[in-house]
Amino acid sequence: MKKYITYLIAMLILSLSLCFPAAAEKAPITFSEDFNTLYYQQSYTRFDASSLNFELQGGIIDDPIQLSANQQMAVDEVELREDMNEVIIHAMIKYHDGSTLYVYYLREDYIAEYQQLREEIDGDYTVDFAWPEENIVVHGKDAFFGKKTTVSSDTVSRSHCFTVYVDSRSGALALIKGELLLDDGEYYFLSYEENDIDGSEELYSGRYESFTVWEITDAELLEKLDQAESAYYDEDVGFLYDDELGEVITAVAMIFVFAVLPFGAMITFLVLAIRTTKLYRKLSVIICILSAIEISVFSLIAAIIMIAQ
Amino acid sequence: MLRKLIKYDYKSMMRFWWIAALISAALAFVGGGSAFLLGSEMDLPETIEAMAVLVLIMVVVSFSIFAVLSMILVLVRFYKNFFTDEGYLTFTLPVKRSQLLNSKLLAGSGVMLLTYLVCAVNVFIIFFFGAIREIFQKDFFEKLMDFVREILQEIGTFEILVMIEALVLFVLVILISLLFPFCCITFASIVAKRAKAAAAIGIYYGASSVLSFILQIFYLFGISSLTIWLGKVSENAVEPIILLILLVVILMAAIICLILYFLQYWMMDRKLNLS
Repeated sequence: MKKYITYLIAMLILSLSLCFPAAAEKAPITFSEDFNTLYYQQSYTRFDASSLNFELQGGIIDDPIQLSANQQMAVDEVELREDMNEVIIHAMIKYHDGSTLYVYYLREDYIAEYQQLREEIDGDYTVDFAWPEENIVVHGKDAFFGKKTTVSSDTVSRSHCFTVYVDSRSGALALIKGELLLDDGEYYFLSYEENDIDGSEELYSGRYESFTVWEITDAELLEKLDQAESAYYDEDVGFLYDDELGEVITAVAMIFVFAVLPFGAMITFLVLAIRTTKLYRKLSVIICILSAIEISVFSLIAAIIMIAQ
Repeated sequence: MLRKLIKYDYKSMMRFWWIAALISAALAFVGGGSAFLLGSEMDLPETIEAMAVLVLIMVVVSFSIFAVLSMILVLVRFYKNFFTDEGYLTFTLPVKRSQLLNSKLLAGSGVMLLTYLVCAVNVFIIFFFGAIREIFQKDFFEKLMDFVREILQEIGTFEILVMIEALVLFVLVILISLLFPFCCITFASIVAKRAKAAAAIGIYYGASSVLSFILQIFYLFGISSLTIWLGKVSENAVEPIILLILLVVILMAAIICLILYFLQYWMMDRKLNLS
């Protein structure tokens, strides 16, 4: 008996020790003294990320960060976040004096691609409609520069804007070239370069009264944009039902609540108005009148929406 | 006579209301303190930050509790004045049944409006303390005036009409939120022989659950379908359609309000057997 118990305990200890994997020590993230270089599994170099189109991941990099003695004297905290393609790192460096430095780093093997992207003149432009997923239009650059005109900043503010960018060779980087404006059915391309502005923050800053834009006249591009725009507006945001079924259910429910029920109330209280007196009659008459008005207004709305479909 | 009824109803409802309002205002200052701490540039320990957030959440929850307490005060006054021993006195007064009902409605609406006003002031106190550093900067009032001017420039006929409709809808919703429990309490008093208050709560809860279920279905399907339908309408027609939709909602609310009033009056007049 004692033997079996001993074997059992030995097996338990062995299996437990095998279950716990040796925690691989993660190499710490380090910076050069001047914070111009970062090392995180690979080398990253500080660079100018302005006008790049990328999205940072939600969570911060939780690998340990090792600062030099000098850096520790000045720096309180460092937070790092990667972009979705894992080629750009955003660093938020908080100093003891309360100031904060925001720095972008690019993986060294993408520097050549980045420089090529900045120098690229003739690449295809991509318009990102953002919704639904992968709703993008790719077309030659020249088609975006149609008829040159000017629009006011008010027009830009009220237009629907979609980012226009150029992808790098591998697709890991994208440089924003401007915005596609949709104003009352017309498409315009607003180039940041031609307007000498840095990005969308300047676009809505209120410092500019008007912008130079190009009305898109290329038929092929217009057709692509129309299709993408329809997908953008028609994609249903419901999650349980097919488009048509959901719309039918909604239409039936709305007709029942806003037409059938008030109609029923109108008839009921019309009868009551005839058969009752005093306050009951007054209330019944008011309910009938309101029901009639409500049904008329609802019918008007329904007619306008049906004509528009 | 209606004025006297309103006066006594109001006095009865306010007896404990003002205590709750004071406590709520005091808590608003506590919440303001938390907002001040959270908005400060001080390097607070994480525990203090977490406690400040917790205090702020509890203060905001307390505002909801204050609103619920106000509603309870109104309903208790309605129940006690009509359906307890007090009711025998109430219904012998030389006033019409409709005046008795109207006084409860008007006094109750006044109390609820005051409650929402106090809650709004409390929220303002929290934001004030949270932003107090910015307020005492030199150019704050200039920036505020610029902001107000920008808002006023954006306000056109459409925005004004929407605000008017929203206000009317707000008043109707307050009336419905009072009439609906009134009807549940009266109905419970008619059908239940004992434990009328418990029966009233049960009927109110049941009816509210059914209504919430219907509204959830509307919300689930209606919003996305409306978005799709309105997206196909010409841009010039969108604003008038929104105004008409709000008008339809207001008319429906008014109809519901009147039907509830009709029901309530009918139950009081014909079913309570108090003449």
